[in-house]
Amino acid sequence: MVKDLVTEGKPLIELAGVNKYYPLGKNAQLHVLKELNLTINQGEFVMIMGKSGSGKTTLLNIIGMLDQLTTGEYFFNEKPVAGLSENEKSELRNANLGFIFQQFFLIDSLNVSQNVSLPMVYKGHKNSSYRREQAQKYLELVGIPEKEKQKTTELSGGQQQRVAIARALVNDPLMIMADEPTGALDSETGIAIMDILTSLNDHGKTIVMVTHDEDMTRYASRVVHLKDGEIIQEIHGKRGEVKS
Amino acid sequence: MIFNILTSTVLSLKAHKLRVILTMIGIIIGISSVVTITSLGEGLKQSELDMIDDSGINTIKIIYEEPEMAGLGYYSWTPFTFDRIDMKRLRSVPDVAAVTADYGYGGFTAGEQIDSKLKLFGIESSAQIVAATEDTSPVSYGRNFTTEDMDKPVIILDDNAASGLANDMEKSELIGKAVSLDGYMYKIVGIKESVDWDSMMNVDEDLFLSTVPKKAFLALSKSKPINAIKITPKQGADRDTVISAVAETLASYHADLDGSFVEDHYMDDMRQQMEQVYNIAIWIFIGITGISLLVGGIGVMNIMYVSVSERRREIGIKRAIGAKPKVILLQFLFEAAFITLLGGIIGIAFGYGISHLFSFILQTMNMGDFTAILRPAMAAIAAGVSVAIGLFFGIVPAIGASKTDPIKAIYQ
Ligand SMILES: Nc1ncnc2c1ncn2[C@@H]1O[C@H](COP(=O)(O)OP(=O)(O)OP(=O)(O)O)[C@@H](O)[C@H]1O
Ligand SMILES: [Mg+2]
Repeated sequence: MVKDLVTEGKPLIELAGVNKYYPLGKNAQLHVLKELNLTINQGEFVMIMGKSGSGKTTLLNIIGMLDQLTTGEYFFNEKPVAGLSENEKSELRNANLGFIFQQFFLIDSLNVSQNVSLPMVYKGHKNSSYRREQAQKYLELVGIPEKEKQKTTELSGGQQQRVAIARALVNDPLMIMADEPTGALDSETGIAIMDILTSLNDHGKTIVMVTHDEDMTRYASRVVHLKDGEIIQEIHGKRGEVKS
Repeated sequence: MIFNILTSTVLSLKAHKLRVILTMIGIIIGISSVVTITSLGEGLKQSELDMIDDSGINTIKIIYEEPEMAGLGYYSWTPFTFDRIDMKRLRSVPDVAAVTADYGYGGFTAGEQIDSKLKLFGIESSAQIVAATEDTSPVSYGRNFTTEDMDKPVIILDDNAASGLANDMEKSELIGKAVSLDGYMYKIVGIKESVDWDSMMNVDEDLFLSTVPKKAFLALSKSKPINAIKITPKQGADRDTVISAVAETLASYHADLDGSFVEDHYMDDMRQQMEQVYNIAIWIFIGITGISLLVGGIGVMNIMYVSVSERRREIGIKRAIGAKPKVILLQFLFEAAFITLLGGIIGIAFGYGISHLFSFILQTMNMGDFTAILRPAMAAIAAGVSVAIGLFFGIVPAIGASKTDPIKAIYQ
């Protein structure tokens, strides 16, 4: 985590003139992101806010290389994303990006430890006892070391989200991408999850999070407001002092 | 990673046991019929190899054919019969090792048995008489032969003949009575057990025959017409040469006859017909096999499509956390191959069981004397074919899975 502090401030995500269109029927298309410019530096905790349908998830998916932009430029860690193959993008996601979803999206046929281990499997870590140790380490970090052998379906929503965070962290990625991570949780559990994320950010992890909950902005170091696919407001500041 | 894929495969299969089993049925039927047929074929081949040295198969049956029957190739009724002098003459033909008489009609009665009329108190019954051998069938009345009986005119009746003779009497009352056998008197010492028709698979053919001591049998057969002569050529002798030499010898002593002496082909024809039936059966089985493997393969393809669409979100999540398309492809391909391999292994086990049961039944019914053989190489090929079917029919759904758009899959 020390290395992250050293590289703090270096641009991790650079979007320039990004447009996203979704085809709608025959000739129509939906203009979801409009001429969007956005830079995210290492160590930031960026929150993307906006009404439903404003394009938050679309933007996050483009940043996460799960979706493609229609026009514009995207540099990840100073390298162009355009022209990367599916395999290269898979490797980048696996090593550098950790995803957290509103609905947790754990794999129910695997137990907790196996879920957390999966990104390591895809990274090529062959030693299963190493994987189990690492998984256990991150389960401890998110506060549920005792759930290792449990079925995911036997966990509460909050516990499932903790597993998802452990899974997102296990390959020590450059950035965590979270789409409304507290959206399916009660406010108390949501706060516990936010505490984990802020603590990660304190240790230098870059976090991009989508929310439409105004209260959440107090955890962010920057808030990006989207309206109809355009950035209408960007608020920089130290965490806790952010006002919208 | 292989282990992880294996675990996730087993887990996902466990979650849909019934579906997987239904899918495997086609493969199981296909593979088990292949294994059954090849094991039986292998066993037959082996038993044929074993029989090459068996002298019995080398026996030639010579018959007389009337001119109008020329070319028929097996016994049809003729006033001509061989006599003992013919047999004596043939013994001096070169390369002939043994000559025996055949009292039967064509191919229907194998071995030496005589059709005889039995008469007791004016009641007639017919019986097939054979010479006593060491293992005689169990008797239900009276007793079996003893060594003292061997020189005496005694007879053990088969149950059917006994019933015919007994008429109003109890069968047990026949014991000790004298019966006329083609004009000679024989003392009834025993009556064989009746045939247990319920155990059709295990009928003792000896139960159909009445038995007299060997000496008595020889005396009886002297007066019997000889319908064919059986020749056993010497080891290494050319069959056709022996046949033509025998035919010439017979013809030279029976110059007055218009017909000819030929080999009886009845058994050969039977064998050919059996072979034809066997070949047709094999083709039918190959057809069944092909169809069931095809159906099985399509079933696998179908279940893979279902599996892929059911686990679209899982695929999406895996892609999001860094699984390459290839990994997804392998996962589903592996699953398909695993299902068919499992089906194949069950099929091999079934095939092994069925073929051995079948050859056992044929054996006990005296319809074939061989044991099915499943060679390890054959089992390995069957397993390989199973895996290949899984890969072949699984590849298209697996490619589909690997091309899944993660976004659409996750937020389906
Ligand atoms: N795959 C798609 N095809 C067509 N239209 C889409 C697709 N995905 C999103 N959209 C549309 O793009 C717009 C932006 O969607 P997006 O999911 O980014 O909104 P959002 O800001 O995340 O909303 P919410 O707060 O409800 O999650 C919406 O109008 C949506 O209907
Ligand atoms: Mg959204």
